[in-house]
Amino acid sequence: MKEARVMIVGFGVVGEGVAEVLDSKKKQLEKLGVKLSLVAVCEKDGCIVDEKGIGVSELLKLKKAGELQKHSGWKKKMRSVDAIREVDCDIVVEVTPTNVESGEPGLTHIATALDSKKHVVTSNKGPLALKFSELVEKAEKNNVELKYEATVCGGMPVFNMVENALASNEIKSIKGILNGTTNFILSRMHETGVTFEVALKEAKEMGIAEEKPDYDVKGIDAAAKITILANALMGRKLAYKDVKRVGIEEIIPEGIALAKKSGFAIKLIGEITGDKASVSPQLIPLGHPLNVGGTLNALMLETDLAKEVIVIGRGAGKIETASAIISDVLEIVKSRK
Amino acid sequence: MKAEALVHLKDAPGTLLEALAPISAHGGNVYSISHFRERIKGGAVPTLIAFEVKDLEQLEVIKKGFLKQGVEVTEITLEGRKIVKRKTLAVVLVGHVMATDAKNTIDRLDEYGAFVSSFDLSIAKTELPSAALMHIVIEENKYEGLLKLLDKIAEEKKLVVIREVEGS
Repeated sequence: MKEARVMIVGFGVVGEGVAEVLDSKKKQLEKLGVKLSLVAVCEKDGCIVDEKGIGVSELLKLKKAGELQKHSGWKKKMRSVDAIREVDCDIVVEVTPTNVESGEPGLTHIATALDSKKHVVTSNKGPLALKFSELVEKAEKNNVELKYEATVCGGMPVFNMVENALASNEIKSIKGILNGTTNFILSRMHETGVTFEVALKEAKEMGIAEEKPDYDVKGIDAAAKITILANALMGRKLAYKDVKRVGIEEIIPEGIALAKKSGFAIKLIGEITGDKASVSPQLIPLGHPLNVGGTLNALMLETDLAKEVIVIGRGAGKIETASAIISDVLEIVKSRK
Repeated sequence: MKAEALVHLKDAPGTLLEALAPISAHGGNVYSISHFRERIKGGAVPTLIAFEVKDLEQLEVIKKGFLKQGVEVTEITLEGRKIVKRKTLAVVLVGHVMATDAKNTIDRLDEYGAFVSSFDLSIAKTELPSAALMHIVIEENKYEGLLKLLDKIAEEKKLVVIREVEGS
C-alpha cells in the first residue's frame, strides 16, 4: 500500500468536493493500493492541522455548519503559507479561487509548496496562466510534481490524456468550448430565442453563472485556460494578456437566428492555431463535434499522428473538478518509489 | 477538354438552373451534375458540375460568368488541374451594421478580392444593434488577409465579427 499525506489549501466548493471524494472513494483508492490521509485544511482565517489524519465526515459536518473553528485541530490565524511550509505532508492541493490579475494567493501557495519540496495539485488557473514556465521550472528544480488537470475543463481528461495516450503526438492546434457558463447561455439563446440578458438571468438562478459574471462572459476564464493549454501542450511561451479576447455580451437574438437559419450555432471558442491564440464567438456547423449544448465543454486537439481527437464532458462542478484533482493525486502517489 | 466546377447551391428551386446558365451561355456542354447532400453546410449543397470546354480561354469566360451570376464557386479544374481554389466563409456581424454603412463593408471586401455571395440582414428596431450573415468567397491564399480585414472593419465600426470555425 502506498501512503500519502494530503493538505487542502482553500476550503470552498472545490476543496469540499475533494474532501468528499477522499471520503467516499476511500475503499476504491485502497483497492488501487493507495491510502490518502488528510492532514491539514487551510482557510483564510486559520487552518485545521492533525498530522495523524483529519476525520473527513466530522470536517464536512463542521464545514456545512460554518463552524470549522470548532474543530479540535483548528489553529486560528495560522497562515496558509506557514502551514504549507511547516506541516509534514506530501501533496498540497491548492484550490483557492482563481485570480488572473496577480495569481494570488494561489501563486504564493504553489511556489511555497514547491520550494518546500512538496508535490502540488491545483485547479487554480491564475498562477499557471501567469507564471507557467516559472512554476514548472521550480517543480523540476525541487524534484517534485506540479499537476493541473483540473485547471482546464474540470472532469475532462486533457493533460493526462496527452501525456499518456497521445505521448508520441505533436499537438498542431487546439480549439474548443472551454467555459460551461457561456455555453449554457448561448445554448439557451439558440434553443429559445431569448436575449443574452434573459439567458444570463436564468443561468444565475440555476447557479450556473456567478452574480458577477464578467469572468465567464468576457472570456477571461477561457483565455486563462487557452494560455495553460498552449504552454503545457504545445510548448509555447504564451502570456495570458496576449490572448485576443472577445466575450459574448454583445450577441443578440437576431445574430443567433441568422446563424441557425444557415445551419450554424454560435459558440465561444478558445483557439490556438499557428501563432494565434484567441477566445471569441464563432459559427459552428450544427453537425460539428464542437456543437455541444448546455454546460458541456468540448475540446478538439489536432495532432500529427492521431489526427483530430475530441474530448467532451463536464467542464466544471464540485465533484467533476474533484475527480480531476484526485486523478492527479493518484498519478503522483503511484509514480513514487 | 474536361472542366469541373464545385459550386454551392442554396437548397431552393431554380438555383441549379442559375448556376448552369453561365456554362450554356458561353458554349460549354454540361454532361454531369453531382449533389453532395451529406456535405450540406450553411444551408448550401456542394454540387459538382462537369462540363466540356474548347480551351482555357472559354473556361475563363465561364468563370467570369459565374461571378457575374453570383454563383458561389470554390473550385474549378481543367483536365484535373486546379484553376481556382477558393474557400467560402460564413460570417455574422453584430452591431450597428446598417448605420455603419453595410454597402461600404461589402465594397471593401470586394476591393480586397472577396466575393460576398449572400448578405442577410436582421434588424429589430433601427436604433438597436442589428445582425447580418454574409457568405464570403475568397481564394485560399487570401484567407488570412480577409480575416485581418474583417477585424479591421469591425474595430473601426465597433462591430462584433463571428466567423465560421476554421476547418469546418
